Amino acid sequence: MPGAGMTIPETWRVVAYVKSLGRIPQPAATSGNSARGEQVYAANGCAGCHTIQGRGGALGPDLTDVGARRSSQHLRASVVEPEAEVADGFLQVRVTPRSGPRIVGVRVNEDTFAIQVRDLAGNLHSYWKADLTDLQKDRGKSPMPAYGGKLSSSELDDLIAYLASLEGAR
Amino acid sequence: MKTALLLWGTALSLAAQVPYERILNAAREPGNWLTYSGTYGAQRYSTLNQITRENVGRLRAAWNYQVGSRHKVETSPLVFDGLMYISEPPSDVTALDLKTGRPIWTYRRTLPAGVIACCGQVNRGVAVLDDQLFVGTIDAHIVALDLKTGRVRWDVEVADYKQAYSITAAPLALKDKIIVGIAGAEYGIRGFLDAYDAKTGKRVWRFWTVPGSGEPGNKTWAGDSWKMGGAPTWVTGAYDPAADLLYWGTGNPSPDFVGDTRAGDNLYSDCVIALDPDTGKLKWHFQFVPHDVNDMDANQIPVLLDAVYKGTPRKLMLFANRNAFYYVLDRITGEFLSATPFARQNWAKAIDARGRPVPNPETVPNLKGAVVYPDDDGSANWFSPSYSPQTNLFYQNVREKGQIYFRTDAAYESGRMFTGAAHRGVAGEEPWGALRALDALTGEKRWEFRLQTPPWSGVMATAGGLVFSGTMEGDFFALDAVSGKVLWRFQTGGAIWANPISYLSEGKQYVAIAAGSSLMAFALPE
Repeated sequence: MPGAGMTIPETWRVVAYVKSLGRIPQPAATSGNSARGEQVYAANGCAGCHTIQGRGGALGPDLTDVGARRSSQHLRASVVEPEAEVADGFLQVRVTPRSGPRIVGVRVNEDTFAIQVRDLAGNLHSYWKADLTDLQKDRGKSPMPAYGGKLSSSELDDLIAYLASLEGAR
Repeated sequence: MKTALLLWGTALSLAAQVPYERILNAAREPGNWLTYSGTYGAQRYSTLNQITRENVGRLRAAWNYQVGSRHKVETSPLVFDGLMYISEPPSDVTALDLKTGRPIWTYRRTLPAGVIACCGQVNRGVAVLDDQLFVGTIDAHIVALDLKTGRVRWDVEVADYKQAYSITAAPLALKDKIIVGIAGAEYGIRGFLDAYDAKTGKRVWRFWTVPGSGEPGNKTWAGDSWKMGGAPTWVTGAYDPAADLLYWGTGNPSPDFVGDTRAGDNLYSDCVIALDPDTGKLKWHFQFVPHDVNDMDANQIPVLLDAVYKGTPRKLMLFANRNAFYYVLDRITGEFLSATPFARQNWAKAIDARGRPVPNPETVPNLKGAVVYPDDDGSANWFSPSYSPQTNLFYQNVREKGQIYFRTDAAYESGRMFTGAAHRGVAGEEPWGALRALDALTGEKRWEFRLQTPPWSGVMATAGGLVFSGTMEGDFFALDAVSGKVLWRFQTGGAIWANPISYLSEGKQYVAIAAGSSLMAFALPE
């Protein structure tokens, strides 16, 4: 890492800011019940796309320690309206090969000549770009449904409580 | 058997000599690669034509040498007399057997703790002269090695690494001298270009790229700002033997992004300079960006071309600048002939008839954030372009990326970062790149091959009608030099931060490039 090119006072201001990041006040414990939230998670098929402790799908971000990385407000917003902020590395793409079916999925990797895509069923596809007739990148879009209208208020509270409890291996 | 070994040993020792005349006439031995850019004219063009548009699709990896360094491998190999010579970052050198890719010897440098380098402990290659190899080191020494053994003949300090001087460029062997450029303008060094006696290591001359008190040009710096004025020389230059002029690009003034403490044009930052190689005396200079506040280093390759320009035969210099303009200069006089944008830019409203830019004040870093195209990695950078006399096209890998610059304080302290800005990307923008083919005389774009991300790979055109280059995602590829169509690609598995070269081994053409932490050679199957 190169030197930051900052003056000493600027450096201390940055240090103060970074230290504050670990102390973002958590909201009063959510009213939800995390044990019930785990059932909500299972019943709604979240594990089809997300992983916790190595179990689940790879279409969305790993949630093993999401409670340590994200505030409850952020988790709630992500569940209610996933397209409010799509996580880095999960770009939705639509791929039309010269032969074979059109695929909607999440970009796994891409270079000048090739792209790898995981479809919504979790299957991996690899294409040479020269073999595609169309490649669309849906920036800001997410294959995750918005759960705002799908869960009851108490289910949502429980789910958030469960996600907030996930702090990874300690 | 004994006789055969003896003969082989004799042949190798006799052949392992590269006098100046061989480098001067490098174009006559296209099976070798004797100097950084192939020839002194720096066109990075190979006249080898065994690998063609028709057969390049069958190109295969011949061998892969693992460098085993955690630093970026930016080396541009030399090849002659059956061996390849590469630098390994930070400051090591290895001789490789051309036939097998196996190492013959390695020079490993023990570095002091605390070397300072803005942008990685990298090295772009070695120079050869007579029976010695020369490498500049990240702790700012120039070292002469015995060609046969890699053992040190002499080791001379060029500058004090504790003050953030470092060497990343390949030296240039010229006549009986070794020309050495310096880096460190992110730390407020005072730049220079040096020449050393190849036999003894004694310094013959130094040209300060920031003139001292009382010297011409010094008054282009306010007060004492020249003392930490930057203007580094960290990319290998070119040489015109007929004019006997040495050409070299110079980098940004320090601090990079704050200009108020250094009012004036800040000569000779962001210039190409033409020097007498015997004395280091300045013959002419052309400044691309007077009083730069966007880190627009002119540390690119000056490409020399003799051509009929607007009806008159002229000796030209082609210079695809980091600042997004493609310049054509008269290389005998330094006269500005044209500047044409080859990438997105907003820092200049125009370039006037004498080549001086009309700067856009909105791109001066400020507290609210100034959006600047290109960013401080530039549209071009150290990676080499190529010119093909077959197509009269100039091939340049281009970076398309802007950034937002926030002004900060810049207080000089020896050995500390001295840049004066913080920066971040432009929200919602995905940087990209392209290999562009430009009309060599006008800079007009003829075609482009789009790249997924901004590249750091050099380009080489060949007489087989091909252009070779690489990507940050590890693709090494060949395009049709006329149309830009992809004819071959190979996934090397590592980002390419290096220039390609071509050579003959046992009569067969190879193409080589560093990728990831390895050096790879490619050839057609038997």
